[in-house]
Amino acid sequence: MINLLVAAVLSAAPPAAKPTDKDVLLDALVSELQRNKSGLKGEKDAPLYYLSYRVADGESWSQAASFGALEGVKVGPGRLAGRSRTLDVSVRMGSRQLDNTHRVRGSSGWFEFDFGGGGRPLPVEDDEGALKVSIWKATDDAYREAAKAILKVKANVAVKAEEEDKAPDFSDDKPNTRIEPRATPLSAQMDQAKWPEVLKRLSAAFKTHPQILRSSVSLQAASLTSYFVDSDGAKLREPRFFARLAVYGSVRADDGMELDFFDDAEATSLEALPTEGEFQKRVDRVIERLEALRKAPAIEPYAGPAIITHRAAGVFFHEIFGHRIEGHRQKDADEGHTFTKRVGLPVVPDFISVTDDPTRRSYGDIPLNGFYLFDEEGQAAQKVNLVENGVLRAFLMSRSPIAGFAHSNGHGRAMQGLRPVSRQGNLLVDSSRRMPFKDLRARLIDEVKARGKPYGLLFEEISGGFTNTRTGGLPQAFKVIPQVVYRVYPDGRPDELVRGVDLVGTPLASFERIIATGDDFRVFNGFCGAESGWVPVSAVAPSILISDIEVERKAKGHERAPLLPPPPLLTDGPGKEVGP
Amino acid sequence: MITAALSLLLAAAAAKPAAPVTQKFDDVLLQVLADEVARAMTLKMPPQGDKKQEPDRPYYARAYLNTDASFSVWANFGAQYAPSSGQQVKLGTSVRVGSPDFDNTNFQAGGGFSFGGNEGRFSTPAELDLDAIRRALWLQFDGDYKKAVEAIARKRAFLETTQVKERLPDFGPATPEKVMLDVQPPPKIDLEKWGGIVKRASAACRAFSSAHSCVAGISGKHGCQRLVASDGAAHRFCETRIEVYAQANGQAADGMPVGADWKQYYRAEADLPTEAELTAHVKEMGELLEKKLKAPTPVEDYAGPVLFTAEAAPAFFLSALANPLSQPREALGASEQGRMIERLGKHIAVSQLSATDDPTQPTWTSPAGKVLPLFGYFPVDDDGVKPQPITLVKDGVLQTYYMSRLPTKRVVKTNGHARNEQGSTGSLFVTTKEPHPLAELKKKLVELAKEEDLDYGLMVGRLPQSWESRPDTALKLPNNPLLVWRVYADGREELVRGAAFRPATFRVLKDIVMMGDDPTLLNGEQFGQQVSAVAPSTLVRLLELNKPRDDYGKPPVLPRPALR
Repeated sequence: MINLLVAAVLSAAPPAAKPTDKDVLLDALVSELQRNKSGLKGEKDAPLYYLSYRVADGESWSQAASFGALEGVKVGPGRLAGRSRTLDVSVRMGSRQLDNTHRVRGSSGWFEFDFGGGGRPLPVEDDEGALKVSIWKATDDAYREAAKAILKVKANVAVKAEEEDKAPDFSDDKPNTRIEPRATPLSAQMDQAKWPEVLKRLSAAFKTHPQILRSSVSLQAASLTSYFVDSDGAKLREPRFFARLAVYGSVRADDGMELDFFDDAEATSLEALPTEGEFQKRVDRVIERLEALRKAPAIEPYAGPAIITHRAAGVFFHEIFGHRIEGHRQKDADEGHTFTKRVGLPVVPDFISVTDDPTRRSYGDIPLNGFYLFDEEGQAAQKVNLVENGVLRAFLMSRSPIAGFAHSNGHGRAMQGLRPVSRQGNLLVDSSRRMPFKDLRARLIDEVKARGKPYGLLFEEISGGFTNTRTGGLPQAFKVIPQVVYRVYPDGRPDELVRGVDLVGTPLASFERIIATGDDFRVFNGFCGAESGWVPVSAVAPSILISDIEVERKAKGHERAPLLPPPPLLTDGPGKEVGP
Repeated sequence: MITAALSLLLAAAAAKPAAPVTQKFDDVLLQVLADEVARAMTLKMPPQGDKKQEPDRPYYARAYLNTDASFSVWANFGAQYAPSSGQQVKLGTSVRVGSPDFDNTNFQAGGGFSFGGNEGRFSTPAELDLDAIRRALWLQFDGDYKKAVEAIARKRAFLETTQVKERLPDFGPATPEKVMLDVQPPPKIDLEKWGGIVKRASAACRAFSSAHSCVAGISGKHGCQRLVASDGAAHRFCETRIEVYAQANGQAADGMPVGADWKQYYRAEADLPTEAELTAHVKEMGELLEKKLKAPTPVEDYAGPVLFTAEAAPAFFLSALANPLSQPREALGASEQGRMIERLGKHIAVSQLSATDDPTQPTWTSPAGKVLPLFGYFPVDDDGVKPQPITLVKDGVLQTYYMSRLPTKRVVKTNGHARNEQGSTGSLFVTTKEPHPLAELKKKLVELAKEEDLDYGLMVGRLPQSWESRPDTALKLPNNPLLVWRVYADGREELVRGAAFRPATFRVLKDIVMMGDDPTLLNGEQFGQQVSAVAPSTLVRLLELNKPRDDYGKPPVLPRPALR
């Protein structure tokens, strides 16, 4: 379900403007919001009580190169290339206590989840009449769906057992108003002729490594203006920018096991991305890693002490803790409710505290991916103290209240086209039991010796993972996918790179076994996917020492290596197009 | 042409793999394909277990490279939506192991193995970079060969345990052709200019208050294909298709969604409609939409004569004739009964009807003298074989059907109609020995209706594109004709909406009563391929149409915002 390292959905923005400039799109949204809110009455006993519009408006650019040539689709040039303007409509019918978004119980699981309307394209030109027609039609369609849904919800509530959590479906939160300047168009910031050549040059480094079967170097960038208006009175406009330069490679070991390695850099401006020379070094490092992994020995399942280093520990916390303190999961009867009734009780060792703070722009000089001012429900982002000295204090809240938490804390997030649910932003793990990494490593060796184990494990890179938070047939376990793992021997031998393991376990038991942390906090920036789509997130954590962790054998591919040698190369560098 | 028995040619063609010979080309891209095809012919699995058993080796390999440049610009009610443009390269590879008599293909029971369709398993370059293309071909061929070896083993196992009445050879003979046409660069369509044109044209129906959308758009694709096969076949050709369209949509008071659309295909920018012409089409669609919204709906089902006119006539024959004569080869383990192809040499239609298919013609001249492009034209088929004009039906009798290099029981040799691996339509021409003016067809329609105790007969002027994935054994006309009129005895024609065709049988071709003298061209798609059909108005004695369902969603609660 979850993977931190996948592509963003990008969209983008019209000409930059002062906050006071006439904004035809905003005017059309407000005008249709008022007309539709007053004109659409809802069903008998289920009035339309809330209406909102969310628009992402701007430009995006996405291109990848592989082995020295552009791959996929070569983006066409032009003023409107990558332009998009997408509307999401939210209609709520019934009452805040019970409305059309209420989960229908005892049905076919995800099939009954209201994912949202999928997003509607709007004209990219500021023609107020044409914009209004599109908004009107999208609203009417959403209204019809809501009318059908509320009937189903009411019938379901009538025939099913009383729900444990009787919290309302929608919170009564203060609307926000803030009009920021519109985003500067991406095309005004970016040299569209330069970047394809940069990507080709960077990716050409893989050409002389025939064992690496797949690879790519990609750039995604978006400059968009985010709009939100609702019938509670919210009116928001803010610019958002995102750029990500990434490199990926995949190699097949002699036994058929496919091994991936990935690196990326996110930035809040194109200028803040690494230079070509800097990123070339990272590409070279990926190649080096892949070649080393291919030759590394595969290890067998193991249980014993391990260190998960900083960035990997951030992913570990994101996966096995962060997703389980998302508010809506405490309400859904089909969820595991790992932490639902543990507010005020210890959930992690007492030297650990955890916050989620989307208002934080950076950690040191590293920009944080999970920064935002307002969430996708128009609520101001808030810092939330989730765990204080090991004790659970709060959940990440959208506008879907749960028992004891009646209000949003600004974590209702979604990608365009999907309905927001509570999600993480910048997850920050703190520790009062810190030590330098060398001491943490010494503790690992002590643990290995004390337990009579032949070695301990050191997890250096984790590509992502997934966690099952729901009840049902599958165990509520997690699996985290390490990319770089070392055996650490107690007899002083050098650490040995190994391959072929996945990190598995159950959350509560895993947290109990954290015995110390490093003082080496690092930032992991990535993207998290869940039922409301891919959202940018960050995790900041120190290295952690776990007394007992379990790894299982990674699924091994069955493919043989290619039967023929690779074809001869014309050039080691990027290629040239040879004509139509 | 009818061939009653399997040709002995096939047995002769089955032989040990020949030593690969790399073909030589001046075109560097063809040369890259040829080099990798030659290497693919040397693929060999390392021995396993019983070392005496020789692994299956390729006896045929081919690769194609398509370069596609595409664009799309559209506007609704005078405002432009996000346009798109881009360039893509597609690489396709196929390997046959074993022999033409028995290879890894034409077998489904073991899990759906087929030949071809192997685009995009690995990342493919977006540009014509020789190293990147060779690398992608190397990996694709490697995967194809491994799959082919697995597939032929499963096929052998299937045949060891299953009684098969008659097994056909898997690959027929063909003379390797070299068809090298000039490489044409993509047409330079000015997207800024056309953005302005579609914007202004689509604004023409802001005045139509009942329209929910009113779109004018242009999209296009220019592609060049290069193919090299191990038997010596090779080709290169380019084609351009530009689509210009106008659409208006709304919802009737009874909730029925209603649309009106116009679409035309072109080969060059010079042929495109002017802004004034496109604007006129938009207005026409707006007016038609208003008429359709007010048109009555049938209150009861209809069983009676149907007259197909204008574009509905060729669309009818694409469904009733070209579809059942396509993709004649069935995979081993799959068996379908009652197909029209079984009627070879017998009457399948009325004696006045004949039909040919000729993909070699790039244009067709209408009776009014207008030269129109045929998008069913192709200079060489997917097997690398030059297409042949074929007579499908002569005086009502089925003569042959669409053939690729996949032999069938009664027709063995290809006729150059391989498209998506199997034989299918190019440009279908339906003619009659007894043409009549449309007025006579209408008169006859009313007479036949009267015989069925009906006050009117139905006339269909436009059918929607039907999206077929495979030939059907029943005639399924697109069930929501876009333009239908009631034709009354007094000559009155009344537009109606909502009638839907019921499935029929292919006997309908024998129920044709009268055909017109007004051949009309339709360019469209069938099985994902561009096809053309030319046919005159055609009157069918009996077809059934259902009245519309009565559970449409309600129309919008609020009126559409005003457009000035």
